[in-house]
Order: sequence, then structure tokens, then C-alpha cells
Amino acid sequence: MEQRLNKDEVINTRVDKETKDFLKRAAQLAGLDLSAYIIAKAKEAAADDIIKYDQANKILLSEDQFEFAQSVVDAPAKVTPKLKEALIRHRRK
Amino acid sequence: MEIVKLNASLEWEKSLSPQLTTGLRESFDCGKPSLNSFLRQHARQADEQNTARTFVILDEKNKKIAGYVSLSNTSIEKQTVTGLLKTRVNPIPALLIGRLAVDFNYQGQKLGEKLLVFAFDKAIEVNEISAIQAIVVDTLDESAEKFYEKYGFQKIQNTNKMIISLKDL
Repeated sequence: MEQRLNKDEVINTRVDKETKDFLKRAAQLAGLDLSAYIIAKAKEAAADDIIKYDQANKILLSEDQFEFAQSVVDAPAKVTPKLKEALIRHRRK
Repeated sequence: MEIVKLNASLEWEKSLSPQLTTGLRESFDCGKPSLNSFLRQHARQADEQNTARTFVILDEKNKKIAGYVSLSNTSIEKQTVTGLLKTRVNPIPALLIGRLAVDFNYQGQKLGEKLLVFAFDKAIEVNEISAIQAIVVDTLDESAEKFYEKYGFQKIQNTNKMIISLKDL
């Protein structure tokens, strides 16, 4: 079950009146209070941004990290006992 | 239980919609909110936009999704530091296991392992078609790291990523 999260954190930010009125009007149209509306919309946008980040499809590493990844790829094959077991268990060939 | 494409499970869901109190994806619960919400809200969009493929273990008898894995292509690259001219190194092409989760009603049945071997087999196919050298997995926490470590994945330090060479499969 997804647990109900405690709302202990505060996001505080200042805006001009025009922005606030604008958001308030949109919130009213959506039937939400201003905070609920802002959070709901921000979460939607954040999810989109995270998906977009995933879409960049690149893993950027520091020199050391990259050297390590390269060494894993270059190393001779080695199969852990657990992997061997798993391949036997689940492959139907 | 078969592993099927997300689309196939959605079609199946549609075909028996009146008999379902909640949707297949909505009732999935692995205990990790971010992994639940990916399946509920984002997997389909990612699939339609061709940014990640999701495959699910469908329990037709109990009308549940027992687990899922999402796969995409990635490229491991060295971050270039501005001002430093270095010989360009080739990126490492890889398959990314973005997310892998098992519903808690199905834990202890080696379904995570089943999904992992499924991903490995897909990686071998991808390698035949377009060449990859490794499989990378995004891990959420230490228990996930321990799981992947057993199968030979190695942690890339200071990241949430682990890597295994395709040669090992």
C-alpha cells in the first residue's frame, strides 16, 4: 500500500500579484485551493521533465567512473554462481 | 505466468474490463511509490513515444500484473570538461534496465530473477541487431544493489547505476 506521506516540508516562494491572481483564477476553475493546484501542476511538470531526462538516453560519467565502466566491459567473461543458476532456471532453450 | 508487452496486457485488460474492479496497472503495488507510479502513469506514454519498452508478468488467473521491467537503450559517455582537450573516447553502448519491480503479493517467487533473465535475453537480441557492450541498471536503494550484485552487476561509484558486461551472459 502506498503510505500516506507526512506533509512536514514547506515550499515558500514570493510572486507578484498578477501571477498570484492568475494562478488563483486557474485554481478556482480546477476546483482546487491555490496550494493544491500549484503542487498538482508542478508534479505533472516534474514527471514530464524526469521522463524527458530519461529520454536523453545518455549516462555521463567522470573520468574515473568511465574508466571503471570500460574495465567491466573489457574484463574477461565471468559468471557468478547465482547468475548461472538463474540462466538455467529461466531459459527454456 | 507469461511475460508480455505492456500493450498486450492493456488489450487483455480492455477485453475483460467489466470484470475488473480496478485496472491492472492501478492495482500493482511493489511497495515503492516511484516504481508504482511509473507503471500506473508513465509506462504507457514512454512506450508510445518509443523511449522505453515495458514488459509485464501477467497473472491472467488472478487478473493481476505480478511484475514489470522497462528497457531502453543508453550510451555511457565520459563527461567532457570544458577547456580540456582530450582524445575522444568511444562511448559504451548499453541496454538500460530503467525499472524492475515485483508486486508484493508475488515476492519470494523468483519473479525478479525471471524479469532479469528476460532482460538479459532481450539484451542478447539487441546486441545482434545494433551492438551493445553492457547492461546498466538504475538502482533505488541498497537492497536493490544487493539483488543485482548477486548476478554480477558492479556498482559505478557515486552513482545509482550498476553495470554488467554482455560477455557474462
